[in-house]
Amino acid sequence: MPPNHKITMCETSGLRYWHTVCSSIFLSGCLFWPPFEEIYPNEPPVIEFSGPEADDIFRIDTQQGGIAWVSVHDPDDGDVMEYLWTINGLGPQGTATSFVNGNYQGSSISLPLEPIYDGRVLTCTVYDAAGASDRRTWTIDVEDGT
Amino acid sequence: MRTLLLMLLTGCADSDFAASEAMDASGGAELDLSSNQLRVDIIPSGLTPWLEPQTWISETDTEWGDLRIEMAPSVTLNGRITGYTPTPYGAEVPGSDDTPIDALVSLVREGTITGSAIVTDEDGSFSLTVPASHEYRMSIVPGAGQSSPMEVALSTSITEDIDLEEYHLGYGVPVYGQIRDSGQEGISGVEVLLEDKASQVQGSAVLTDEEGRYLIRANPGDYVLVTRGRTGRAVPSLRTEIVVLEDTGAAYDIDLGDLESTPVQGQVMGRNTDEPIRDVRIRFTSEQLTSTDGVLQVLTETDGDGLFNRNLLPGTWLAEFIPPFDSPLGSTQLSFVVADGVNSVDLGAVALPEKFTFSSIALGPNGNGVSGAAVNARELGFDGYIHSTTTDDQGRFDLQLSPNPVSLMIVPAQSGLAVTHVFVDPTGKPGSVAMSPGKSVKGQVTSQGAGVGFALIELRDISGTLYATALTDPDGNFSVRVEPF
Repeated sequence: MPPNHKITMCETSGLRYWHTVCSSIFLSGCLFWPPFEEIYPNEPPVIEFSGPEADDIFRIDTQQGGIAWVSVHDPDDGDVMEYLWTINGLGPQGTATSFVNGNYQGSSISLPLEPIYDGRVLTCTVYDAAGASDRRTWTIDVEDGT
Repeated sequence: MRTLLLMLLTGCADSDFAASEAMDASGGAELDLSSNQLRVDIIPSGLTPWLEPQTWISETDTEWGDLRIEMAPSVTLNGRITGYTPTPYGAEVPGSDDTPIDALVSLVREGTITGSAIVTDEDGSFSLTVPASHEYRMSIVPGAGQSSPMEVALSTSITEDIDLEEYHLGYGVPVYGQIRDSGQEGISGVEVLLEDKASQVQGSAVLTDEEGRYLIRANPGDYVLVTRGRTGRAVPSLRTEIVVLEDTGAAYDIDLGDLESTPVQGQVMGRNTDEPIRDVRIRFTSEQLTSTDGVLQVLTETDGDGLFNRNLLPGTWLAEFIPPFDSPLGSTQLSFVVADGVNSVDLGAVALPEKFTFSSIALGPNGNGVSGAAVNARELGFDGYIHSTTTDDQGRFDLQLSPNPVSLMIVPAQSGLAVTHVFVDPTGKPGSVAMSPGKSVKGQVTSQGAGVGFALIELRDISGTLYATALTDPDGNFSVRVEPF
């Protein structure tokens, strides 16, 4: 019995006695205290590396097109990433491939040599399962005359 | 002229050949499309900005378990392009030699990602940075094809900084003629260009004049004369092989057939909603045109009421209807005929299918689910949209797909399993995807002996099909398993 739990007998009320006994012994015995569970707040994903570097120019100058990519670190074990590649004025792009390799995961996109991309901004946004995100942008430069 | 360019570049590079081989930093083996070579594309991160994206190719007998890939250092090709300009400063007559030429200079190692291109500045000067390598195809394509010939040099070695200094494109010889319809009337505003037959490098297009006549200047050799319409005009693209002679050039008249077009219209709707769908990309591709061997591709989009209307030539056609990537609707296609002499063709209401949930499971060799694998489903045909997800703890995954065949690529998170590729018809029975150990591909990417960390590695077969993607560790090491190919 914890020291701060005292049973006080009261001569005038038998009912109070039983209440006290019940509260002090049975009730505490009935309460279930599960082990403490530590709750970790969600950590957002972080784009660690990319090609090209953040805010650099993404050049597309040959018929092979160009490839941009990001690799992502998320401190939360097993968190699932979702990648959204967009180009301003053209909306979401549908040619990105996601990858995992050892401790790394990421996404790459291949864009063809098309004048319509010139001067636009390519953005990759990565979301984790909780909706936290990180993003990286590049200005696209399509070589004139190609 | 071509010989001169080759001599210039080969002469500059030969002395460096031995040193380059010693470094083994010239992109690996020569490309052989008939072989079973492994192609490794390396796209460095911003941590190594002095390295250019490049391809390394294995020998056929290279051991894939211990690849040693030395990235080629960047080298620069400088020069100044000059040539003949008929009216260099507005309206001077006669024309002037040695004026700066607006041209696209490119160095490309064919079948790889190695190479770059740049447009000359006002002075005709250029500076092109590429990885040191052999087998470059160099081309100089002037912006004004009617004044100067394009230049192409194959198997060019660029293994050190080179200054071409001033390079005169010469005069070439004339290639001329008339583009006509079946009534022998000249057609104005048709784009005409030359494609070098050996390299497939295309020159700049010139437009036919009011009488349908064109003039291009070219160096003697074998070419393909290409005609094509401009946006909004139903003019078929026709390819004609020609020979340009040293003394006389070449004269070719081209008959594009009957160009009387017919309006083709319709409306795109959701299959279950019966609502018009806007911003749907429509790609009309001719399968057989009635009066010509040429081909024609016409692009358009639906308006706010889901309507479309374009003029097409008589023949059989394939129409692809492609909604935006993030649309809940999928792509579809239909074939139709534009008969001779009809006033219009109404395709009616074209219903786009709704995407649906495709569920499957990735299983390892022991029959257990493979968790944490990246799943990429690339739609076959249309715009090749790729939908991605990740397998759950039991290896299950769901994807929202159009009812069209897809190529699935499953990339396991755990080592010991290969990146797996399967073709799937999502409308059929889902089943499971069996993953195998496959074959290990390991190696190290270095630059001047030091590991190149955090570079993207794409493993492909020699035809360019992607087999696996990896990222190098801080020391430049990578390891991935692939299905044998």
